[in-house]
Amino acid sequence: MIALASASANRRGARIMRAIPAGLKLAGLALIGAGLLFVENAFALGGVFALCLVLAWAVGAAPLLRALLPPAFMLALAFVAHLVLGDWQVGLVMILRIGALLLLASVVSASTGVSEMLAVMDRVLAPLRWVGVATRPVGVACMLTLRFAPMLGARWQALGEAWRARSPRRAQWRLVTPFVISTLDDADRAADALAARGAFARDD
Amino acid sequence: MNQSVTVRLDGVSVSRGGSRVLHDLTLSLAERRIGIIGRNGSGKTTLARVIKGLLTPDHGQVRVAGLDPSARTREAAAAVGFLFQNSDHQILCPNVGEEIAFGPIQAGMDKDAAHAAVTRLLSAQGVADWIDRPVVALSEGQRRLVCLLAVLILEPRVLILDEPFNGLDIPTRRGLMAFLEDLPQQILIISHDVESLHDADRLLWLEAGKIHDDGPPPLVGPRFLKAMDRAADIRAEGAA
Repeated sequence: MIALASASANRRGARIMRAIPAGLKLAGLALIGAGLLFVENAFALGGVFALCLVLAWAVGAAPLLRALLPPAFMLALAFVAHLVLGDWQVGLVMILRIGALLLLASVVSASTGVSEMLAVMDRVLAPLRWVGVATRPVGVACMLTLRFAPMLGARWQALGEAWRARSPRRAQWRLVTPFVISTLDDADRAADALAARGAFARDD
Repeated sequence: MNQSVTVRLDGVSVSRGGSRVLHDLTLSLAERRIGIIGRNGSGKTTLARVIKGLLTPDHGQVRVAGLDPSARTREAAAAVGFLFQNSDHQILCPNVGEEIAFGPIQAGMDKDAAHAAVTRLLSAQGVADWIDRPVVALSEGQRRLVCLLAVLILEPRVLILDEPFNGLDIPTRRGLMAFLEDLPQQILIISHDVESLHDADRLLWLEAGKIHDDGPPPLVGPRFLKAMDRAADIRAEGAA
């Protein structure tokens, strides 16, 4: 997701998509997603899929398409299963529908900044604020999750490499303890970084 | 910029796990560029964290521009900027624009104004196109610059840099030094690399939580290096 968040900004299509308010894009995505469930015609779905491909190309999202290769592979497998076990037309409708949605969702996430997404969430959460629940930490937490999720993966990998560098045996579950400890260390550091830039400052 | 004393420590002591990390420090820091040197574990980073207010001393008092830096007020938070040793420990947001806008937004600036300020800052550095880049796509030197900009946008009076040149190649290091030279802020640089601090106005040498030496770099620097050589010698003899 994060690698996707940077469609090349100098394309005209990308500029147009970026200019559309995030709320509108997300609402549109939800509506189209729901609407596609009711379309059963393979030709119509094929048309929608082609449109989504053109859109992805227009926002200059070639790296985006590469990131979609694993799900595309899954869809291909699902189609083969339908082909072998039953009705290939049902399979075609299914993969066109999901493929179009994946493309569209990727285009939206590639052309919308994380802060814009969070602003939409902030508006959606507004009713909670009316009953006295603080919603600012929710936005910060989402941001931190997006930032640290890839770092946790990298940390696990680094621990695995450190293990393999000194042991012929497989590490497996033995990495869990150092992983948890180093993650808690990271959390401490993130708290410091938050404090250093005034995230815990009170409004006075 | 106010030329009067901005950082003042009065009898500051900090203990960690039963041992004293800082020992009754009393200091007035007024010079524009101050280097803090010392060996590993001498208390350099602890001193920096106390001045930033990330750590509250067990005894004594810290004042930065007349404020208690550990008070959780916006004014106190904005008084000191802190550059962490490891950029990855400082970056909180997935992309550059958001990372730099984080501080201003926390300080109550609205999102559009913060975005405009970030755009201005990045353009002034000639890197306007970084704004939407994911931080993971930046090099170590670029990340260091993003961290620095994320701190500078808050316009702190004092800037504390914890080993800012670590892990940077020579051109990046020189570029960063030139960039720092032009900043109007009072800057405290922590380092064990005394050569990178020869242009400082004052060097503080910490040893076991106390000020061991204090003066201009041409005086303190050679003494420090000599002491480090001696320490290495003694260890070599002990091992032989």
